[in-house]
Amino acid sequence: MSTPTTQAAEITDTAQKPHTNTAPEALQQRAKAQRTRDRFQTTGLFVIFFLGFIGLWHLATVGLDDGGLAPTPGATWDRLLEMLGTAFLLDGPNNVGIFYHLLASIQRVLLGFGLAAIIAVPLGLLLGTSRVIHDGMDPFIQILRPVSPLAWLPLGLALLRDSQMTAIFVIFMAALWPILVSTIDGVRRVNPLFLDLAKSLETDTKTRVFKVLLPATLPAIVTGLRTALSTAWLVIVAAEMIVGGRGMGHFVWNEWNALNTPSIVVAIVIIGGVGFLLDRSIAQLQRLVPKS
Amino acid sequence: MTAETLTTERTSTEPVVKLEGITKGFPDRKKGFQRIVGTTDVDINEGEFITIIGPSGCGKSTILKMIAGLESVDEGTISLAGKPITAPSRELGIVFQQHVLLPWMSARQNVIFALETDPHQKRSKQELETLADEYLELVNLSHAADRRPTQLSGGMQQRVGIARAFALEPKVMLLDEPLGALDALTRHELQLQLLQLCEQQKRTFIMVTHDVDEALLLSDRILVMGAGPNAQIVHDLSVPFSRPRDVENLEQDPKYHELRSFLLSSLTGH
Ligand SMILES: Nc1ncnc2c1ncn2[C@@H]1O[C@H](COP(=O)(O)OP(=O)(O)OP(=O)(O)O)[C@@H](O)[C@H]1O
Ligand SMILES: [Mg+2]
Repeated sequence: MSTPTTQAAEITDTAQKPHTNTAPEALQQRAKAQRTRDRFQTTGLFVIFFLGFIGLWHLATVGLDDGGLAPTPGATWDRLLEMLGTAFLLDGPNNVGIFYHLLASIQRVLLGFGLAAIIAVPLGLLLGTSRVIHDGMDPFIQILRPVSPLAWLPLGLALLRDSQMTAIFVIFMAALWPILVSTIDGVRRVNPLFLDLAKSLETDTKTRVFKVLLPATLPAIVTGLRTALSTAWLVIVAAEMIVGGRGMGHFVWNEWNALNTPSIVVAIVIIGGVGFLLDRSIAQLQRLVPKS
Repeated sequence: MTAETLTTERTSTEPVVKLEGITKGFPDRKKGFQRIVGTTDVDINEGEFITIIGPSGCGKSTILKMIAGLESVDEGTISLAGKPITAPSRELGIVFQQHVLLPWMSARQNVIFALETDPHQKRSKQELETLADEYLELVNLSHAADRRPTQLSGGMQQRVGIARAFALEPKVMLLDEPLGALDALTRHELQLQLLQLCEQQKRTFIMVTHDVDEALLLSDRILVMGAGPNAQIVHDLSVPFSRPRDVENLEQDPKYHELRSFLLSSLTGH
């Protein structure tokens, strides 16, 4: 609060005259050129890596004396075109296009994942808020979480007596823990003052949960959902190899039995691509709440 | 001021906030339990601006939290207009040291949130907006009403917090180092704004601060706490400058410097 003393003190001011700056348009132009250059380089590198990869692949597989088991790039390309051509084929149980296998896998994953989210998010909010309930439940979470979801598969078959339901159950078990743990963690990290504010405004529980707790926890929930969905997508292929029926895992296993390895390579690329798209779409949820 | 105006100003002699023999402690790793706030009695009258000042960690925030109903007292009672405070209430508006604005809402929405959650009074959307804008105007933030907290400077965030607390029209405003996190220039500017606001808005204020000049500028009474643990109020000083106050006049008043050095020496213990 002290005001400067009005004594005749000597002030040394050695500031230079302001420079004339480069015009903003020129700077913008420069930044844009840099961006174009970077993008060009990235694309170039990608093409080089891709061609190198195909070359190595070709060298490693062509002329290999293994009875034609190893997939060559050429055979894989042919198989890809063939599979795309028959993607929507639906001709008896043993002649199903790749699209329907993919659809079956996605359906199972989304069902199991959705069920897990419906249960894990509210449970996580509860456990994150109440220390007492959390500490009572924690031993169960800690013991069950590290178990591979596939370990539940035989139990699912025995109890549910249905391969479709079992696959969904396995996905559910795979997706449950990441969502639960991330939600609990998210609630714990909510600024405690937000809750003090909510209390001091005499808000009811509903407002506290939906207007304060949930939005504040949403980034952590979305992180949990992303981990859960990618885990589910990892697990479904393995699960379908065992439960059979339709699905990418079943397809891969079938093609292996037919010693048709190029199909497996095509399937791997499709599984990877769809996994990427699933992750991208769930990440969009994060946009609902801007970062604090 | 004549005796007559005094009696008409103070309609009731009953204090708005009354702290009677309160103590507060926390579990402690070494001792098992550590009393932080020693037996404290304070009467705070309607319309008074009270500042609590004291060394870091002596329990100022704890006292404010107890008055806010966010923390329970171990012994004694705190009452608001004669009724014991047992839970947080909208009659007590709080301004925190760091801004507590919900980051997914704009400044206006943050003020509206405080208004629309009122269980005692339902307002229309139109009313809510008008009211929120009115209070943002009060802190000169009309131009930034649609910005999110992250798009506001520290001083602006704090002003939104102050507008929100005022919008509740609380009986008592509780401010815990409201300007403590700001740079010196912004703080000085907001001190003047706060002075103007509290002189206009005739409410009871309880503020915690570390800044002696801020305390002297704003308060009618300054409570000085001793060092903790088991800290108590060691001085209860009245600040007799007439209102409306103005910095220049204050700084020319010898009484101001006398109080200032008294406060400084009692805080630093020299
Ligand atoms: N919930 C709690 N559990 C344990 N100890 C606490 C708790 N809250 C506060 N304390 C302790 O009580 C003491 C007083 O804290 P408080 O925040 O009230 O101090 P303060 O006077 O506001 O300090 P400052 O000026 O630094 O803000 C501190 O030693 C602190 O560690
Ligand atoms: Mg404090």
